[in-house]
Amino acid sequence: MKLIQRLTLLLSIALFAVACDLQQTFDERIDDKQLLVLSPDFADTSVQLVFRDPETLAVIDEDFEVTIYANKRLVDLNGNYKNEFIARGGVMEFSVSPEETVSESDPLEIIVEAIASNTMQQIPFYTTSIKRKGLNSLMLAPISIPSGVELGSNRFLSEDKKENNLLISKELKDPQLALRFNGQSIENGVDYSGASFFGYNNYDWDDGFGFTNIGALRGRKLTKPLEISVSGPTSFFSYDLELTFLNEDGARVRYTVDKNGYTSYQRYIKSGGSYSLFDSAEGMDPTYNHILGIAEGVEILNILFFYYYERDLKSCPRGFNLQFDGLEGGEKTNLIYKATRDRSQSVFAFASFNVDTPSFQYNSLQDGSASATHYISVETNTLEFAENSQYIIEPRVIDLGGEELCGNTYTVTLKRRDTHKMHNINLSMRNENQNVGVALTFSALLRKQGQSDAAWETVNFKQGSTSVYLEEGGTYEVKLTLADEPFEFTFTNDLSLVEAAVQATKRNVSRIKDITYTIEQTADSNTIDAEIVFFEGQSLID
Amino acid sequence: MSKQKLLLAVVASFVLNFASAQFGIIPKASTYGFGADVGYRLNDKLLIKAGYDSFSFNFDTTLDQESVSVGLNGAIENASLGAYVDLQLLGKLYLSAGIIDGGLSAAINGSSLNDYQWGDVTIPSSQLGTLSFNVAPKNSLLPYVGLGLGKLLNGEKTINFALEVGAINLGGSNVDVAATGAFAPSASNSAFYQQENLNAIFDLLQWYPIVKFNLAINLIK
Repeated sequence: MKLIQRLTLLLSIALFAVACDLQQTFDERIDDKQLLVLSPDFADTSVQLVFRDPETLAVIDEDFEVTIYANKRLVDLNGNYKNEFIARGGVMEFSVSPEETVSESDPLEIIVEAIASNTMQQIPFYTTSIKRKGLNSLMLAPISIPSGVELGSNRFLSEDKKENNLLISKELKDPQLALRFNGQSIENGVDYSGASFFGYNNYDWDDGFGFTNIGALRGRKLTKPLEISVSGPTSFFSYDLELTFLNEDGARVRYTVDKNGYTSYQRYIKSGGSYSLFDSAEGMDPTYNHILGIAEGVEILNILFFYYYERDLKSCPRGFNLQFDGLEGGEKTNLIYKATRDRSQSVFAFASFNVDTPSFQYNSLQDGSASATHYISVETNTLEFAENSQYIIEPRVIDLGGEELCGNTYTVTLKRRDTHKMHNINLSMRNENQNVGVALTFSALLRKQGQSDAAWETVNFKQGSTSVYLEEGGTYEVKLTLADEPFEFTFTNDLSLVEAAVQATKRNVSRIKDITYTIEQTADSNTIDAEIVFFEGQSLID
Repeated sequence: MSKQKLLLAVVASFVLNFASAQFGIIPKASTYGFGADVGYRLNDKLLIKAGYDSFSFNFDTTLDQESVSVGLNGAIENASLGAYVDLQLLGKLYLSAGIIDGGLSAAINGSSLNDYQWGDVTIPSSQLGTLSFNVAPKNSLLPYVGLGLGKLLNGEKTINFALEVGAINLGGSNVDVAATGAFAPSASNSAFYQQENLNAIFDLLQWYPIVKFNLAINLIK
């Protein structure tokens, strides 16, 4: 029995020694290696905002400060409630909180305010609704704010009712088109009722279209009521006057009135870290031209006045339809177009949207449309798609015709480019010295290296993966905004260029410690796996 | 000689030889489970054995990774057949070698124990998904070698004992991961499956250590 006891003791010591060695070997083997990958894919509705020039469709490579008002709580890619973002390089993304739902009957209603301080480009108050879950892409076309532009002249009087800080009057004083403050011509830098304004006019008389955009210096409350008047000829085809201001209770208010006296009133309040959108109070105010008063104590944010003369323009509230064929099951791509009135070459509609089924229909006024109606030429209008790197769009330019375009359907065929090959890209990220990686669901912009800003196309990563048709031997750039920081990376499907692509990415994002990169090539497709490792404490993902 | 006669001669020879040798059953307890062999001592030096082992071990543990705490419910199971030859080397010291028909596997199922705090949003644990590991040896036939002290079915006593120390060569492991929800990219069928890194961990167990206690009962001396 003694022998057995000794043997057992020896065996125990041996097993302990083996266990210690195993632990050390285990630690060495898992050190700074990715073992598991998680996907915080909790939000089922996300929106990518891309700022583009409406004429050239080029992405505006500027940083925009963006405020989004919404009827649902919004979050960033790290799940933080957020309504104020920075769109680096003209692109950003937000999501609807997983606690909320988005559906056809309960859409996401948003209003976007944005400004690029460097170039004085702004989105004054862009309104749209999102009815589809998944990754949505919206194109925003900012307008430039020139300085030293004088605005109209004339005078008016009003004193009627006070409701929601608005003093509304109905009186036509002068048949000449004018927008005035307290009966005075509006001039840049001059104070009206204790506030200072800047703005400009934009006219396209040939097309019968124009707008006035007036911003106010922030932080200046009205010290006495401000009266804003609209007067002009009844030959106006249509006009909308939109006032946005900060109420005494902190709510943002937008009041809209059109030529026919149709008014809407919306309040947006910020509470608990999120904005709430109140239902519109709508109604008829049978005035033909307007005098509006804003009570003292409020802070004006923006005044927009759009107008259209009745020349060859026609309102198209139904928009036009596009029918897309040619995609195979599982394929998807993002398309961008602009539609112009031929005679004036002015853009009346633009859009960015994802086509993700073999037979896909799109209405020009659905998600992402810039307005609730189009003002089209009764003569000729043209639609032009931006070049798509993956698919040949046939036809790329469509003669929409004249007023018959309203409600019409145009068929478009997408053909895969023979020169391109399917690439499956899998991207995970993790922090240094951690064994769990993250595969994010996000949207980004993709272009072949060296192409223009108009070549940026939206690409959607679902749980870290995407499939796109790319040229073999090419180097591509991807950019997005992650946690308000620019995040740009370069990848290639050419093995000889991998190191250069990795170094380019590390130069762009100094937070990156290392990138593990593999390419697997088959006859049908290439698969690129990339694992990004951030320096400790410098990750952009929580 | 016809085939029937030849077969009869072989069987008769076997029975005669069998009757003159030691035959018995050998219940055993080891780190590979509980079981029993049937043993047949051919001569003073050689003993052949064949039998089964089985065990089942359940455990619960927690895997804490960053902000996720995953509760793991694991089970290690074995149900295997084996055939061995024991060669008496010196006195009671013997060398045992054999082949085992697989059977060892581990299954670990996990799900998040807590709600997950994703920024400002609390995601209920029930919506986070599940994670399961299944680990099995790469090869179905596993070689075994060991050293023992004792002489089983030695014909001197009806009951005798032997203590054996050895190891099974697993030859590496196959890991299969099933995952849903937020864990989905960790699954074997995902593009992000970390096969190389996971196998590197489980391949640590190239050799499975065996400590075995045998109790032999001579049925025929």
